Amino acid sequence: MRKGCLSIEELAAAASWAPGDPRRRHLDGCTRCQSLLLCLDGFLSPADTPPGSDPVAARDCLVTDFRDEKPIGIPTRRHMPGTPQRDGKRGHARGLLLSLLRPAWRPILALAVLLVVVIELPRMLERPAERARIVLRDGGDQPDARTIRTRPPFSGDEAGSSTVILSWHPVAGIESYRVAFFNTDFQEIAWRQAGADTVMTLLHFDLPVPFEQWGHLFWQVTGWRGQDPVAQSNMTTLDLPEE
Amino acid sequence: MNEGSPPAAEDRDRPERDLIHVIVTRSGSDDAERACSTLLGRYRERVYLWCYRYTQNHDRALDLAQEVLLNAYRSLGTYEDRSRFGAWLFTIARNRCLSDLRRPALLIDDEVDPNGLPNPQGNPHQMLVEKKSEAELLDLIEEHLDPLERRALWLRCIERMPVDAITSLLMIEEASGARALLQRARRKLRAALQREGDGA
Repeated sequence: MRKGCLSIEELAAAASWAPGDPRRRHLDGCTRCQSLLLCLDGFLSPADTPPGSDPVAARDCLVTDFRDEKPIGIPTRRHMPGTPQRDGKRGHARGLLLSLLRPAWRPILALAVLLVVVIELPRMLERPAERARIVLRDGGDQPDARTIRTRPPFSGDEAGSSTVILSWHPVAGIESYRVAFFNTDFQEIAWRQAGADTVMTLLHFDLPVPFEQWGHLFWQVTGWRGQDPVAQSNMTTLDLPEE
Repeated sequence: MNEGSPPAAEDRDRPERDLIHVIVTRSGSDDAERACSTLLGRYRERVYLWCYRYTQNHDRALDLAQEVLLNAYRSLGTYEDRSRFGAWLFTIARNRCLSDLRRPALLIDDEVDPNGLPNPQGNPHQMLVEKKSEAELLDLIEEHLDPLERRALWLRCIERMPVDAITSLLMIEEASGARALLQRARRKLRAALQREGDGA
């Protein structure tokens, strides 16, 4: 991006510029702005439907009403045609529960609950701390194999959006990385999958906390091999180092 | 999540301008959130198609598009009436797609020459260097390429767009699409760099 280059929002109003407008002169000679305007037009008025795409299915699947959305996590897409509705499952579960509460079943149910409490309670009391965190599986022969070393966060700017770039050193044998974000009470507020990458770019709206408050958050990388977490970084602050 | 609830009947046919007015003037209210949901609903196919151009995969495009729509909903507070809603949403979609593609090029581009690539792991310092080289690339292509080649190369190198998507966006009708154009542009640039190297 060069001095004088236009933002996407400015480019969106290009059609209303007067002939002598300096922005028009800039646009005429700037490949970056011309390309972005081309992309914007392509987004707003797609000229064709790419082979293999299915915009009709997308219209049916994609959720746009998030008013009852839970504060954390990415939404599940609306059900695909042909799969059972959530309400149907819920109704089925409710019917099953009601049938178990019939008088004939009550003594058996009570006995089962009692057995579960007697067996599980001592075990739960023995290891309360383990339940709060991910327990790492054996990471290999090397003692360092279980530690992921993170680099300091780094700020960037992408198309006018503030970004934070997180990165860490790769660990041999890790198939995928997952980055979790914590508030000052060390409660996990969000997470993102990085796949096999060791760099992650966060845009200013990627976390459910205003960008100005990101400095108060913590982040931690967990490395996975298959279904097992086998390495983890220390929990470090998301505060950006001063330039 | 309110998956099944359709937009309120009175919102469904309202012009975009009215819905934006509600979003901006009644920020944080139920009305504003409902108006946003209605507007997002009108753009969902466009968001999906944009994501599809990048991913070339229906399921991945659906996942990305869903993230874009959710991000837009969460960022509703940052939207200002000074721009078109579509442009604002495009910014979010573009950033999300670019972020998704920010992976070592070796893994995603069969046509890239491995010898010409930086360290695939990358690091923050390297990213800074890449940013500088973006400006240098711009100078170079504006000096040596014609407008169509410039745009094609920019879309491929900076916007990281697949060749087929570039062909469609630039409305190239030749059978070889943008591929031949990109090859020609690269040849010209290599020759220009060679000349500069010889002159130095």
